[in-house]
Amino acid sequence: MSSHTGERKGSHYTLEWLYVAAVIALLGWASVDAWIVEKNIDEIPESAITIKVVAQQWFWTFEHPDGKKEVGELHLKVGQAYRFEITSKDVIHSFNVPFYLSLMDAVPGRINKTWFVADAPGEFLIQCREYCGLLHYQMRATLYVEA
Amino acid sequence: MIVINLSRIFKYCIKSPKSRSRLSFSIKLLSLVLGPLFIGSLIPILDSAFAQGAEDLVNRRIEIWDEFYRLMTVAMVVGVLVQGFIIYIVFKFREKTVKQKEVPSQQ
Amino acid sequence: MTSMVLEIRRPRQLWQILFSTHHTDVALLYIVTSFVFLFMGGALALLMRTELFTPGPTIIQDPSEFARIFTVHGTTMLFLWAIPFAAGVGNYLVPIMVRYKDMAFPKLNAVAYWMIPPGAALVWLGFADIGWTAYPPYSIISAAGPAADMWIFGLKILGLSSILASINFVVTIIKCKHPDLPLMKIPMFVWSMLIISFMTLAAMPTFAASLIMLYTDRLGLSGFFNPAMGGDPIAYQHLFWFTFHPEVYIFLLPAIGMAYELVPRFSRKPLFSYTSGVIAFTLLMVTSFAAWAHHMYATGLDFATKTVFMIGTFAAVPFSAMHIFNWLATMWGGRIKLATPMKFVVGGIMLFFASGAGGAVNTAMPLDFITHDTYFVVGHFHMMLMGTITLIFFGFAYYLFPLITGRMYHERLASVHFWLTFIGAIIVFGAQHQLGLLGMPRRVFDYTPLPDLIALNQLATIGAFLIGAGMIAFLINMLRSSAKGKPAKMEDPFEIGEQYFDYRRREPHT
Repeated sequence: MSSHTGERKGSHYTLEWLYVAAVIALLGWASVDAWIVEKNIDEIPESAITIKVVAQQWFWTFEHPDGKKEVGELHLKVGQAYRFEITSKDVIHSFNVPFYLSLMDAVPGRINKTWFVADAPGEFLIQCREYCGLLHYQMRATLYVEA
Repeated sequence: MIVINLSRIFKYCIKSPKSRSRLSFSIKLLSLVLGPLFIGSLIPILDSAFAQGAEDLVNRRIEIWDEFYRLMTVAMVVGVLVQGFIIYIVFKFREKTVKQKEVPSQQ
Repeated sequence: MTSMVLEIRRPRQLWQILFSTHHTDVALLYIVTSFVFLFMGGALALLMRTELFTPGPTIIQDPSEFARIFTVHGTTMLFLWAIPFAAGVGNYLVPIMVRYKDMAFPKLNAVAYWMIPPGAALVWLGFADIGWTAYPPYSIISAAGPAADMWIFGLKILGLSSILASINFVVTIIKCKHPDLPLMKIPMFVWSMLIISFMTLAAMPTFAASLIMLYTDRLGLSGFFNPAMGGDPIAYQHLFWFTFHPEVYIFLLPAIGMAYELVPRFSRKPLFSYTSGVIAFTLLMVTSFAAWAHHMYATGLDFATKTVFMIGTFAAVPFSAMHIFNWLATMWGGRIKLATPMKFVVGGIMLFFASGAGGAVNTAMPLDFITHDTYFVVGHFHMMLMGTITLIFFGFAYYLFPLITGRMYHERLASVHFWLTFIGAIIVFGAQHQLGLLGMPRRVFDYTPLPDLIALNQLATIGAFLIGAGMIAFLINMLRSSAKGKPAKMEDPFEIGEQYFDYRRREPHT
């Protein structure tokens, strides 16, 4: 049952150490890179306007600071930073704007925050990214970014 | 000084010239690819020095996709090296090419 | 004990195998059961892939039906294929490899096996729609009983089966190994079974507790995870992933152990470094417990917490890399026989790297915003579970075939099986990675009919059917060869030479 070997010393082990060092170096680089990017996108700027996002089975409701509510669509202004306070009324959903890479879970009993700058005008998809039941696949809304 | 010692370590570690040249090729390739990527990853630090100011807001999707492309480039290069090496080994050391030794016991 | 476990020419009574407590018989029960569920879960997969071939309802009209299918598919593949197959192979080989006559507790062994059919029956008859992760509040307030309750009970039983089997393995390996056999000389496969048994004992009880809490929440008796009763749904996720992140390594490590058994033999060369393999196993066990919340990056964790788990996840990677180094260094300078088991292992090692690289992309915190809960993740874990773990399992099944049946399988057909599975896996799971980058979410019955998404989904379905075709080839091979295959040369069925070990040998001294 000998998968046991005569252990070779010296140069062959050094190659393994070099290899592991290279792997750790690559991972270290990836971690630092990720940390830097995350740090940059984490802090929500002062100038961001707050939009309340409420998810429920199976549609999205948005509320602007002036109290105006929108269901199934969201109108934002180009070049403006927006902060989203996201929650849910029933099960866990996930607020996702794929174009802007915005993703944050909508958890009942909790308010999660995320933000992005709506820098490109156009019509964009909003979708749910956490399985929430029968019509999860259809739980979409439209984002309109206007000048 | 550092360079001399590094090359000494290199020579000590890797006895066969073939593996030596192979590893040296890999190291050159990796540093050629990693160098610019490393510098590229530092750009967000420069960004953050100016970001959150009046005009310059961090563009989330550009930052994230940039990082994705950097990581994917490295992953692809390493992947080609590793997978290529596996295929190379399996091809080179397959049964047919190595001569049959007549003495059955080998150590 | 030289008679084959399953020799078709002189069949044993079926009841003799069913009621046996001998480790080879229990192993056979585990292995056959796991293959049955592999095919059943695979059929569900093909159903899903057919449905997703075109946008809009294709063959399934009801979205909740689709949800039930993906729930049972995931649950089956993880708990009824991956775990039982590893347990079966472990049962067969560990006593032989530690030079003991059976497992430490043979009756407990049989009990652990026999918990699988009832657990499986509960899962399949319930056919719940909660997803294999069963996140609350959906699984509490929105999922219909009795399906979800049956799922909970089924998993409770399966989890307990795992725990009992782990106790058996730990005692067998540590207490019952032959006195002349030091721990640092047991085969690497035995190390892998020992390590996963420790991990199961540490990780599984947390999930058992979560299941109870989920059930009492469903009954309305408690509010652990129900916000309406003051609970926190995220707490469930922490508990769940605390078990299931180590659990994914529990799925992986037996395959790595099997690769350690196959690579030196088929390279006709001793293993490069036993010590580094053991160190890699042990440190992987430890670091796997530090990674769990990378599944929860989008739940609203703070920056510092996410960083800790990113580092924890990356910390396990060098140890997987060490295993790859070990195998490659073993193969280097050998005389490699590319028989079917070796083909599967080499393919598995290649896809191991690919899945690991995809995993690294998911782990980098910001990149998770691209990939979380999309088909990228689906592609990643399937590449690992099918492309690495199942591929190596198949290789090992072919390897054990002559030992168990006394005959050789058909080599050509097995080669066809390999290529169909390998190419098929690359196509399906590669396409799924790209689908994820294009934003297609997971667990969706339908998708927006963009041409990119449609084309990739169709490509993925084609790949899936290639894998299915490979499975048929496998089934035919196994069934025909066990009845009519050429009798194998039992001392060395693969003509490896010196490096082969005849597992039929039961003498204490090799």
